[in-house]
Amino acid sequence: MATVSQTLACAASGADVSAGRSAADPHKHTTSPIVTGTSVVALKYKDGVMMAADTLGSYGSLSRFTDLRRIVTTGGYTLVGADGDYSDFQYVQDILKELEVEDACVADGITHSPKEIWCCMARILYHRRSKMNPLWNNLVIAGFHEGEAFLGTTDKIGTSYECDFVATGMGLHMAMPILRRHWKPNMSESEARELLESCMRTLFYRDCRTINKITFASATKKGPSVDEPVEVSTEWSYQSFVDPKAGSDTGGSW
Amino acid sequence: MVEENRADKSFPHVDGGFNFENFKRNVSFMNSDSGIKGTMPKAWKTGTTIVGVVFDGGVALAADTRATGNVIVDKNCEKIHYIAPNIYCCGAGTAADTEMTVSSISILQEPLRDTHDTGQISSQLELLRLNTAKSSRVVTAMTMLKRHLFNYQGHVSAALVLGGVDATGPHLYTVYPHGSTDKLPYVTMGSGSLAAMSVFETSYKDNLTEQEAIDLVAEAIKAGIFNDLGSGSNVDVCIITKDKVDMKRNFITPNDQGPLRASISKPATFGYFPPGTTKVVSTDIETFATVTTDVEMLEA
Amino acid sequence: MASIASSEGDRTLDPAMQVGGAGVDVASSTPLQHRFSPYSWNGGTVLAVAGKDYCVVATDKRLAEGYSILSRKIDRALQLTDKTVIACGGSHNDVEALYNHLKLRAVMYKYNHEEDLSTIGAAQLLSNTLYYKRFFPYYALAVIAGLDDDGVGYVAGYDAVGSYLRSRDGYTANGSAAAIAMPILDNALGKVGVSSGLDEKPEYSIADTIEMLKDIFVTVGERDILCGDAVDIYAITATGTEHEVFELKAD
Repeated sequence: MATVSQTLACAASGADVSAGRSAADPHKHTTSPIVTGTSVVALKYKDGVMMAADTLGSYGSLSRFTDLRRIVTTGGYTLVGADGDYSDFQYVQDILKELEVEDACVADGITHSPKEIWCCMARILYHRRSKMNPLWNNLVIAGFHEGEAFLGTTDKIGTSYECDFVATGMGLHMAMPILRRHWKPNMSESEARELLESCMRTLFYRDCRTINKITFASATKKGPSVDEPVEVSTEWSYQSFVDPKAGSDTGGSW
Repeated sequence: MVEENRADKSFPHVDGGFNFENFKRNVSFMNSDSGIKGTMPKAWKTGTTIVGVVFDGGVALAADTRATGNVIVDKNCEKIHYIAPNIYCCGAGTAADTEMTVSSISILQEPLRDTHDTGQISSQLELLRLNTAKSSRVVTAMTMLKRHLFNYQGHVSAALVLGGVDATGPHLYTVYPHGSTDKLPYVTMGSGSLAAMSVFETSYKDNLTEQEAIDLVAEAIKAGIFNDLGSGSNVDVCIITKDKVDMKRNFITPNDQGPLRASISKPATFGYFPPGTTKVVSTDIETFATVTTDVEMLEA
Repeated sequence: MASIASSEGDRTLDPAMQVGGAGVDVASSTPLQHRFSPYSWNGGTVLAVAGKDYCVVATDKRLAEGYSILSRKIDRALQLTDKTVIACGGSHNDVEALYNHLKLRAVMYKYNHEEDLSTIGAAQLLSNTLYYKRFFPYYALAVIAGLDDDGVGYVAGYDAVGSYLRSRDGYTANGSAAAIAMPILDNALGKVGVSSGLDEKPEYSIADTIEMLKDIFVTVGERDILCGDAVDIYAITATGTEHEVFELKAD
């Protein structure tokens, strides 16, 4: 069983164990994301932390995969959500799994706290950016541990910070204004859910790389859990959307 | 051979029309290794959040008031421009482009006077009104703007929110720098457009009252001011209804620095410039003219 | 990938349209190159003033990226020892990495020498640490503030690769709004070649210095879009360091 540090050391040395590639081949770096996920939105509330992301895997402008899960649980307390390259996120999940296995092998009953996982992820992403071989993700790490909610984020170059609420990608532009306007400390579960739905609805309206199939997840004292995807309600019946826009005197240009 | 020559003559080279050689030249300046590299002057941008919404019987426009160059160059600029008595226009993009494209004070300037463009939009509309003795329609202004911008293929970087009430009712358009237009019940433009749109997408409803519309656009601009670094300072609102235009300049001022300054008890000598701050090195007085007053006695 | 043709990929009319290219465009026939930058410009302004027996360093709490605000309450300053504070503008990922390294070095120094790293020692350590990465620099525009071995206020400013200078007149500025703040500090505190109309520059108390720095932050926040939200102020004296947060405008 490779430990996390061994995995990183292997990556650092450029050693490549995959079949069919000779040592003479130039080392390939991820210079652009291929299958991508869009925004992750998360916030702290009274009972812990809540997170949401849709289930679309985009292949450029193609809606390629429609049931990708971009929020996972790890350890006993933590949620990790990711936007950006999906294969890189799957590699991140491998690392998280190794962390879990290490914890289990030590068998002292202690597992990594959300903050430790956030810190670890930030270092790994910074390490990879320093080799000019980034993991193309924004990660959102949320959890509930020892009676306290944790929420932190890191981007593909390792810019990391803790926060009360966060939105990545397009969410930074369209969901953060909503969160900054409506978020308050100690919101109830239903208030938090409603606010997240409002963010995801707006992103569904305005971000081309979304679908209305959204996973909600939360981490509370009961531990982290990810729900099955659901749809959020939408409104398409505004009068002036329905009415023809280019009428004889009211519409388009001459 | 002869045929080909004739064909050439039937399509003679015509001087005039549009020519983007200078643009290509400027790009090569910017990329060349010569001393001029990177020294092209930087235009002021409005940064900007601008929005509009249609309500029952009118249109509400709103804008922030920050203009940005290398630093914030204007903390309280005006981005809602007059187009016609019943039509106003918010501008985002390069400040000079938005102002010269829509402004009423722009005059017929030589470089801008070409085949298609004999003046700016509000001036042209004024002339049209004088000729036709009819009030302007919003769709006319929109068409003139898009033609102007399309001619310049996006090089005139004006992104506009155009609103007004005419004989056919209230109308709200966006006009993009390349000349495309859109007619919608609520619109946003500028670097803060996404922040502002998040407010509309969560709070818009059909048949808003005038007051609801004012509150909504002000909230949208505030989202731009506090989430977009290109936008800031105050909220300007303009309400256009059938009978009147209500320009609410500095409708909300959420960024007064007064209270902040008042909370600081800075030392009296700090920031104080007493007389003599600039040392007098030498004095030289030049006499340009001597004025004398002679009193001549009038002969009796 | 090339088999999924896109007409959008063929547009080469206007050089201006080719600038940017931040969008995902795997499907176009000539894929837009995703240029990866390991750096970000997150803003951050740092001001520091030294007095006879004190030092004050202030830095804003806004983490910006492009025209967006990522956070309004990050810590840009590192309290390295009781009497030494370092604060940096620049790329926040590098700033954090630099701080992690320095924290470790300070702890190891204490284990090895059974005393705190001195401010002057920390200043040299910071320089060496930055120069160690001369050809892949930490993008950190640093200021160090503390007390020297005689207990006199010490401030020094750095470039990203370790060149540093202890301020002769006891003040320095670095980061996003340094160019706006520096002339204000020159006018208030500069002794060489700067006239303020006063015969002698006043010696400000530590309390006055704190208030002065708040006022300068309000001033530069009016003109620098990256500077705002709040300021962390660290006041360092022989008895230790006091920290306060001063709110700025959020626009």
